[in-house]
Amino acid sequence: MSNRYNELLDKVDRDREYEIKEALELAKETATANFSETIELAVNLGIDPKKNDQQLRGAVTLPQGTGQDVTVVVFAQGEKVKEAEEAGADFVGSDELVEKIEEGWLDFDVAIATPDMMSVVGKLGPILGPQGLMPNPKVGTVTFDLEKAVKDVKAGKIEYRADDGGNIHLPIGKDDFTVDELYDNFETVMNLLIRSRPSGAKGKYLLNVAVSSTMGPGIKIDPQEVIKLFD
Amino acid sequence: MALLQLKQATKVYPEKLIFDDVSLQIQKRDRIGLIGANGTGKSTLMKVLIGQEFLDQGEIMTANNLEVGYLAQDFGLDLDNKLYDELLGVYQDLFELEEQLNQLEAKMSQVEGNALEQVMNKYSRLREEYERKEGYQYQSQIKGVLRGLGFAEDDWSRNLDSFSGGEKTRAALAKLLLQQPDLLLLDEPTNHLDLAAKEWLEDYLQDYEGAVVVIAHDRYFLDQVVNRIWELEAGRFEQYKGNYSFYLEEKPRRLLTWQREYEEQQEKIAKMEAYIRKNKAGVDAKQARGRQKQLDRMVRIPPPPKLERPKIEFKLETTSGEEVLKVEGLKKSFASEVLFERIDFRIYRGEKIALVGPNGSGKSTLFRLLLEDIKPEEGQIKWGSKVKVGYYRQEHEDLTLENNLIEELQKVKGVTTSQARKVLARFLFKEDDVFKEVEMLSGGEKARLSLAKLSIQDFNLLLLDEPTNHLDIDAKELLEEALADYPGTILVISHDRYFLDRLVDKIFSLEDGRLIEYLGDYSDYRAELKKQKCLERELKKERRKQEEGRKVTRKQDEVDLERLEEKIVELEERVEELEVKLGSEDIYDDPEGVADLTEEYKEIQRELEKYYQRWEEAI
Repeated sequence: MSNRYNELLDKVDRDREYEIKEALELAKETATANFSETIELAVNLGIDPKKNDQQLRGAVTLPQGTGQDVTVVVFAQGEKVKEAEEAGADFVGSDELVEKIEEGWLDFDVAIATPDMMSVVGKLGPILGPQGLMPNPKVGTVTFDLEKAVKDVKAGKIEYRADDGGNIHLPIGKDDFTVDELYDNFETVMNLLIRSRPSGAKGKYLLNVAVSSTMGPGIKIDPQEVIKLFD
Repeated sequence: MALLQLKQATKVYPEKLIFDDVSLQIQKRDRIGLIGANGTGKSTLMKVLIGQEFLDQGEIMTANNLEVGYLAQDFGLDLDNKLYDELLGVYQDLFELEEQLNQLEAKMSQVEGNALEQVMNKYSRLREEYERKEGYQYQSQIKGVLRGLGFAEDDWSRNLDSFSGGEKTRAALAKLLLQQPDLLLLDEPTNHLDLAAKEWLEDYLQDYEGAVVVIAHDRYFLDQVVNRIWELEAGRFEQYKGNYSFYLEEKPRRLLTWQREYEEQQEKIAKMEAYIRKNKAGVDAKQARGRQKQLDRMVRIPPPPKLERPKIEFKLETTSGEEVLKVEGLKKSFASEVLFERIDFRIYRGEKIALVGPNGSGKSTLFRLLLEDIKPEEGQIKWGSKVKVGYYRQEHEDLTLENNLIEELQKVKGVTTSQARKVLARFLFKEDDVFKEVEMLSGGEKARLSLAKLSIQDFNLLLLDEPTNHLDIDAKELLEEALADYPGTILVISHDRYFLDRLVDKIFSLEDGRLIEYLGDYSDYRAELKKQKCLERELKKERRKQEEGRKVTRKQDEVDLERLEEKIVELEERVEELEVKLGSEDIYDDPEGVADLTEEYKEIQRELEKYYQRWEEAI
């Protein structure tokens, strides 16, 4: 472990569950790497995503944005091309874009498609799927409303998905965000997660909540405090 | 909850009890090694677990929807298929999903409004299911398992009906591993695997999500994979919570306790019987009858199997000189292919050395050179004084098929029939076995007979080629003990890692045509190899990094050079301009202007000089 990380560990009490704002402040303080670090949120939920009725997946728009530039490609044709371009899509196209991706180009963060393009985009499944880039109606990336879709993504809409262990990881901003901005994003995400409790989930739902900077140690947050926010 | 349970289960074959009153459980992440001598019913127990054999008493309970995978003898393969296609068949449900997804994708451009909404909802649901079932990974999973189990890429497109028995077993194992059942039952999975594949399978099974029950004679494999041992021994079933080495330590302790309990009970019985005999008809007749009742009700402890095992010994009368063998510059080729060259080594009295290397690296050829079966092209083999070489042949070509066992021993040494019987008994041949003809013997029996023959002759250097092949665990352990106590010198070829670990203290490894010496046992050697591989990987990485670094610097240099040249051109142009100005006549009407221009001219000349120098350095 690096000296830098060891010093950071002295600042954080790994056994203590912090209050939300205190934890966010600490996450900012522990972002000492020589690049702009992301503040990340990790939540462990009492669900078994291997069961059909306990999966959790969706998208959330962070009110304060993610602080990151997002490169968006849109698969569209006809007049929809213009709509996508005007909404701020970085690359718009149909067959030629599919070809480019088949040749190995993957310099984008989100792919959006209109439903009528899915018959072409579908064959990119083996390439886009493993990277988590395959458009999916459930997270709003297969839609005719390109203006909204592109703008949402640019403004900070991100996908989330529980892994096999019931964990969800999400960015909630950068280290130059104020604590209030981070709190705003945090609250939005937690509100959504609590409201989206899968029907099959039994027992305690919110097991662990923690935030950290990209290169910093995890800082635990008291789950009870989070639940109280939305009571 | 347990995946599977047996309660008070009994299985009897005509005239043979397989197991009696067995209760056991298999939990989700259990790794169980099922051991026992040949013919004790291990495979029968496995067949009970998968429901192919029925219990005579007791019950079997399984968890709901339990998926059980069993490596069957008939392979469960469609032999008309190519290997890769057969394995693709495991993912049939994924292909169906893929088909449905394709249809829905096509439909999205054909419908509108509510219908489109419905299509998209269904698509989302199926796409998630597809991802959850790891639909994007199946190709890499298949390739990983095929490479791990030692299939070359050429084999992937071969028809299964052209596969050998061993290859079919491996293909069936690959298929089973890809199916990832909750409970994996494997009967001798390592039989047809080479060392690399065995090690791969060990790692794979350690990380396996479900439970594993494995029958194996490979003790090293058991030690690496299992955390519990089930032992079947003459109808008795014992469980041990540990790996194979733990079992080896624990078993004598249990037998000792059993022996003690048995003896105590026997003593008690003897006392009670004496009391009954004495008082049957006297005043205490009533008490005697009471004792008799007690005696009748008593659950008798069966006598434990004998702790003492026969001990075998390799005879040694003549001690060799200190230096047993010296080999210098040995070279051997077949056709134009050099098998190995510049082989140098020495062997000293009492050393126990393993000769290892991949198949085809020339281990057996080296043995044949030492035995002068074939001649080297270069190099010398010098034997020490009084060295007497005993050779154990893997294929037992030296056995006379018409002889019986006693005659076979008498062939190599003048022993009496009773002496021969004694020797054979130590090598686990009982009663009438000794009159069998060699022709009738199984592989394991032939191996024991060959070892028995070696043991009675006066050899002080043993060259052993795969001596543990075909031996069951009991026989292997007897052999290990005997060889460990043997005061002579041993050079052994073996794939049995456990055997090597217990026996040798030095390794000769044939790698890429050279012989490399390692001090230590087999595990030390593997650890050293792993370390070297890691180092090589690190070095490669480092080299790549440096190479990339150099590329970047080169690129940077190119950019710098371009800039320098641009600057030089710019300065030269300015110099020319100044020269023109300074050369014109009217400039001299303005003495201040001349001074300024001259100053600038000098300054630029100086600067240009510097740039020239930098440019020269840069190229």
